Amino acid sequence: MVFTDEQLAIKSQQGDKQAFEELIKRYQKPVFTICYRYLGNSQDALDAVQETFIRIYNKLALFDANNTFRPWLYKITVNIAKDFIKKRKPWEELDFSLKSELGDPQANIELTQVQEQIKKALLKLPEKYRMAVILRHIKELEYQEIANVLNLPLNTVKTHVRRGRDILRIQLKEVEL
Amino acid sequence: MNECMNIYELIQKELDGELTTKEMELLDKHCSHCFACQELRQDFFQTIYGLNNLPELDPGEALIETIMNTIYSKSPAQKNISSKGLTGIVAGLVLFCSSGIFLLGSVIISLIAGGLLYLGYENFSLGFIENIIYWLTYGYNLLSVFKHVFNNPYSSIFLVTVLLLSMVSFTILVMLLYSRRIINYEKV
Repeated sequence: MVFTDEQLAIKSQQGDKQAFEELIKRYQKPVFTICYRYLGNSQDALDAVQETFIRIYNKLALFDANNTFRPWLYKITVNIAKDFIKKRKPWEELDFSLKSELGDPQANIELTQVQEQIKKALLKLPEKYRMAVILRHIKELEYQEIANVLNLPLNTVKTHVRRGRDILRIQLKEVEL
Repeated sequence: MNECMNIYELIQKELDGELTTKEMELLDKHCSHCFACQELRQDFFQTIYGLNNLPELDPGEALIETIMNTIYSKSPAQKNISSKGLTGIVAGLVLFCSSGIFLLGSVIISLIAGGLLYLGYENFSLGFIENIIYWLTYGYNLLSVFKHVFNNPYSSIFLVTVLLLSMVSFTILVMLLYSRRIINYEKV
């Protein structure tokens, strides 16, 4: 029998260890992808994923069965990823941008030349645009869902996504030239 | 040029799947003769295609184990009251009960003592209740009270017994606290 995310969350609330493990299995990849694309290195992304699921577990008692699990999970993911950026020192930021230029050895995935350029360009985007673009075009969330996750008005989210992808387009064009 | 600005907006709307049929026709028509907008449209689509096709990343199998070990080595989810909070509640309850017992005890002792003092005083001009009230009201005048109390051997024995019992109770309470049966400070 396949349980919905919400059913698994309720079972986890009641202390079902396997249900919570199933939730991690379902969402570890999307959560890691969001964190990695936003933070730019796998070590920080791994720490952020770990912290996300621990926070989810600690806040399970607050999860309402009438709500959907995914936006709630992404909201916590986004908050944690933003905290990681805030905690970074200026010299660490420089270090990470250098690492992303050189390629992260732990993200052992073959990318096409265009994808490699997109990955780098994404990390150069201003943070507020970066997260909006990740949620819209990598996680393919609806605008309203992104607005809920980021706690922003719908029109602001649209503006962030549009500006973000415009900057990306310009950056990619510059690389081509 | 102004028309191209409008086309830019239409391309953005197209990327979000918000174009009407009429707008789509307008966009296609414009791009068929404007090379710059055609290129812009193509660049946008290439960017979005690239973003959509970035692979989903796998954090590795070890992560689940690490998370599960971190979580389940601690207290379970349904225990949302922390150990510190629980200790605080227990401490509060103990204090509340102690003060309640103290208040109740002092009233009971006053009543018993008043009654016995009535006998000790041998002041039969006042009634039993009046004597208790008298004792409660003027009880601060210990010297005069004690003078009468120690004249009666039964009252003296009662007072010494109350004093001894109070000391024993206090000692038991202190011992319980030290033996940590009431509050375990190590777990705070």
